[in-house]
Amino acid sequence: MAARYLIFEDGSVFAGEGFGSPAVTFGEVVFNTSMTGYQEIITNQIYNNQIVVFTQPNIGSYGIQRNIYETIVPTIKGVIVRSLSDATTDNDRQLTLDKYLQQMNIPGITNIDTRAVVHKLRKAGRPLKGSIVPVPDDHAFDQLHATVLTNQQVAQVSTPKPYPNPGTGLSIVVIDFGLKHGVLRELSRRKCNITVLPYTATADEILRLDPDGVVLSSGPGNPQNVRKSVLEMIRTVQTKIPLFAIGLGHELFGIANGTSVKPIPVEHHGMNHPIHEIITDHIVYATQGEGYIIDRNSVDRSQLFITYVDMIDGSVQGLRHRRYPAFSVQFFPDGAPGPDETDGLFDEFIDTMNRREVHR
Amino acid sequence: MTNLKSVLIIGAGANDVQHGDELDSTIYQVTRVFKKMKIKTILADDNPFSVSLEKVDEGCIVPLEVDSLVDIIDKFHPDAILPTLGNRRAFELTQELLEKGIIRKENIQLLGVPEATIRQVNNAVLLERTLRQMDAPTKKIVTVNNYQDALDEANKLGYPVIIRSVLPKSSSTRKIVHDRSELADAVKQCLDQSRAEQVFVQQSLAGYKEIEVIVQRDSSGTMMMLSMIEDMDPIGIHAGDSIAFNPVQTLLDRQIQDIRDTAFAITRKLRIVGTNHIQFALDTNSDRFYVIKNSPYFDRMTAFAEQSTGYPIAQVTAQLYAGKHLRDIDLGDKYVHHAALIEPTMDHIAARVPVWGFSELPKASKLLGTEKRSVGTVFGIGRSTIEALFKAIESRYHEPTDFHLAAQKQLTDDQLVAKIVHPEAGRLFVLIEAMQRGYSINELSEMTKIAPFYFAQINKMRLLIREIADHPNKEPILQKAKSYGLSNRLIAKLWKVSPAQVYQMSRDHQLTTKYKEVEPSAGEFDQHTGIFYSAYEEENEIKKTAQPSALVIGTGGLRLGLSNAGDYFIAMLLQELRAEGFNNIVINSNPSSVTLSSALAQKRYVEPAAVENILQILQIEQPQYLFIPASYNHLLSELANYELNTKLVIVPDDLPMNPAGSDRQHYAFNYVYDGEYAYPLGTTTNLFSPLALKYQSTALCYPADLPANIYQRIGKQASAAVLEMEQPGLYQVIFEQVATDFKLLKTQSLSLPEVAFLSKALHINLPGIFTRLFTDNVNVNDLLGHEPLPGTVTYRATFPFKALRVKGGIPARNRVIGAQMQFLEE
Repeated sequence: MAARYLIFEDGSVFAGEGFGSPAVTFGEVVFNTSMTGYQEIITNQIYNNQIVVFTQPNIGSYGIQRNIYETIVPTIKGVIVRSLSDATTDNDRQLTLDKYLQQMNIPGITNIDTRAVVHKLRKAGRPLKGSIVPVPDDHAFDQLHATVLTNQQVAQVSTPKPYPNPGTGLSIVVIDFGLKHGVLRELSRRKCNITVLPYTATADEILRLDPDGVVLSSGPGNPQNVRKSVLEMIRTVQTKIPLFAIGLGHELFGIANGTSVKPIPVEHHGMNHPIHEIITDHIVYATQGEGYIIDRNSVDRSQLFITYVDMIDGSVQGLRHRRYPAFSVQFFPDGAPGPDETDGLFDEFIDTMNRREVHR
Repeated sequence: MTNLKSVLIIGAGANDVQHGDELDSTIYQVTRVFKKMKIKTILADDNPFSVSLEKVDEGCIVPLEVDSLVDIIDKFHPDAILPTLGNRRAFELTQELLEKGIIRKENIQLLGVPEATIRQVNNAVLLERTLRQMDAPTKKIVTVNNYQDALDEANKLGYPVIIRSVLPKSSSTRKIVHDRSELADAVKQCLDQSRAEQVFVQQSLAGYKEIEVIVQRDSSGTMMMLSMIEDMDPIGIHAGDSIAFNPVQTLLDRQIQDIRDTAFAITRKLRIVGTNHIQFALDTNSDRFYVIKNSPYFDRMTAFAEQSTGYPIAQVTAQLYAGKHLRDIDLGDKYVHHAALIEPTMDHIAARVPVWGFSELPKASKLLGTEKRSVGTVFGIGRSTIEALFKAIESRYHEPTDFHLAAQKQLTDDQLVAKIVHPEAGRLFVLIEAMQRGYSINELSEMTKIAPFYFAQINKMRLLIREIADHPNKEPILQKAKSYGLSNRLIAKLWKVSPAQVYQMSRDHQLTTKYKEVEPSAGEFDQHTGIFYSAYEEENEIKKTAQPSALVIGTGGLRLGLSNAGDYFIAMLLQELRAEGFNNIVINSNPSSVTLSSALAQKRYVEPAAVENILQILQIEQPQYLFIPASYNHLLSELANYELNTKLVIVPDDLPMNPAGSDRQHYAFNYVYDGEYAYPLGTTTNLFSPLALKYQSTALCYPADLPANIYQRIGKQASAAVLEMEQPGLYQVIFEQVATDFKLLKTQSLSLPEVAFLSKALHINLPGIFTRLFTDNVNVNDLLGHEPLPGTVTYRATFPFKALRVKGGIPARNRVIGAQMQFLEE
């Protein structure tokens, strides 16, 4: 394997060996502390424009599996690992992580001191731009400094056209801000008849389909950079049908209802924080991937109440509307990867819709 | 929270094949927490190597029987009983206490597990029923009374199946039936053996992947997963004999989450407070998995999980036992707020390997199966699977470190196949040889049921070893070898040079070892556990420990002969050093050892006791003292070539061989010698007639019954002999009785098992005295002052013959696996 480098805007260089694509890429460097599910993480669209450092050293041991993609065309900018494992199974069709990243034109670096990178990111306390390069020379740094990362990530990852995922149960519209397949999997398991719409869908377009409920998916980037018409859509739809929002969707739901969001100093990607479920006083674990959170002080308690709180950083992890059947969570209740402890939220969503059916 | 004032802890008794130092270590840590919470601790145990017995408020050295526990309850009236720190035996004893009614009568609370759970853990049928009720996946099992039904069921289950007698007449009969042709005989035999004329037809899980989960729950129902560990060897080989990795290496997220969900459900159902260790069999072809064992008590896996993640399990669990909730636990300023609630995540890999006792028991079968064969365990930590595994193997200091590779070369192809199919201890080297001979990963995986991933790793190890051997004295290769965790000794062997030359070469090229901290948030938070491991990477996290400091090398994995007397001695030594104001630094690789407790040493290096590690650590830490066990003889002789700039103290952990083949009674006069005076500690003698023990002295009695005039006469002779010793230390002078005459045989260092015994028999901290003799800043006199206890104290070594199925095993000092002691009343 050829030498490859992870360079940072502050001039620091970490050396390793390249795998995957030989492309040069730029992105925000974040770290993920999950010990499971590298394929799901790599294919999660929240990592659009980001280079992900895996703290779990051993990545790649079961290759790429056909049934656990979270998207078909991932847009992650790079994969940084300590020890790339050669996947070896008796299945000849087996795709290795290395080959997969080549096919997807995503570069990777292995044999790099990932723990040192994590320490650097933690101490920086702000998002750091980085690049994966073959030679860490002045030219590479010039390019890195000259690169401006788009802030229109949602536009890059959202589906351009509506598509269905038919089922025999309730009809649900999913708004794709960078949809994770996990959400479709959970809804399919509950027999839902799903229509996925682009994030540009208007309230009219949604309601014209007469859905029983709407899901706002997770997605990449800063919610403030998502076009404002989305907020209008949310304000209208939440008054008409049950709404369930996740991740970026949760942040947008919050903004649409008067809260503000703020970036967190070090992005949090993992599945081991205790999350307090206020109504039951239970503590649960769920996968989290967040660079922005709802500002707790901005929550208008006459409109919303807080349902979940991260016990480590105190961040708002869930909201519920006081008047409408609308609720949201910052974490990923669909797991993939990660704990199943909050997948009951999908049942709750289904129940909410069923109750309304009865009343209709 | 409950108002606990006192707790009776049921200890684990003599070490055996099933448990090592982990229970003593846990009791030690739990007791410390209880003390801080002002809860009085009462410990019942008879293990002379226990550190906890000397640290609890009331250490009761009694036989682990229900009657002794009743006596203790009558005497101390504890508020609660803690049955989870004494292995399965403590559960059985607790159930006996429950049946006696004393627990209800005295209104004693059970900590950790409710009464119903104790009954279920003690009775497999009850537990099975509960698991079925909650739809937990368990292996399929049906009862039939004739061949035709057995055949139908076997066809449904698929071969192999296991046939067992229902209510067996004599010994339980259990047959593994691989195909239809073997079924008729097995059914007939088992029917004949059954008092109910019925047999169980049971699904065989052999060959499935074994996964072990450690879950933690508090009394409010909050649950978290602390570790999920993967055994390299499949079901069919005892988990304790398998190489194990934390975290799991080959599981998909879906499999991990399904297993986690089931582990949580069981722990909730059994209303466990504290930790629960659950073992699963995973069939990777169907993705189905089965619960195979549930152990809601501390064991070697909890210890391994604690040391490999840096999450202080014992410290947290103690507070859960006391009724605290996870959200109320504060781990102090070295952790972030609510750290007890953060599920540990690892940025390193820990490999645990078994330690065998075959060099002392050559007759024991090395074949691996469902019964445990290993006697101890060591682990290694690295940033790749291979690095962790190499370090773990290198940590088996007392086993040959040439990896047995040469021996495998001698095998014929047939022998090799036999060894692949019928695995023996040390099979890793057989598998390396098989790959060398061209077996493919898929073939080997099919033959062994070991996941292909591991063969990819084994192949990498093989290629690495070959690459090193092919490129002697090349710096880039050295760097590569070190980054994969190979020791200088192994590299030197492959290069046919001396380890000193390899060390010099790494110095010349400035290849310095760096260290990373084991920390349970994988770097997300600024937390510090004090556990470090070496890494050849960019960042170095080590900082010199504050002075004055002492570096202490632990005695490593449990080995026959020494048992855990080494851990006891080192733990007490560390405590004394701390009392004298030293900051302690420990190097050890036994995850069960009490010496890896944060209370005993500020810094713990999980490293093999290799010269290069010690030199490097000496350079970083610059301690005033270096303590090394004497049994590390080649380490000591290699270290002799270097200027250490510290005071070296040898810990006498080697076993003096008593003169064998004598049928005469021996008397040992024991002394503390400070270089000037010999302080008598009294006399020990054989507990039984030497004949009964085939001339091996492994059972002792204190004090020896000698007439005063004889005691004085030979006592004089003995102290004169001790005064001739060159070094201060703990000594014994051995006399042999010939008729009425006493012949001086020899003077030797007190063995550590005897130090442990005498410390408890005399209520004197002998390891502490030993420490003072060498740190010479304090007088030993104040430690010696003691009131003699009335009566006789006995010591009996225990042996692993039955557990390892060694017929006619001869008790000998070098085969001891544990010991019991007892105070006999006058």
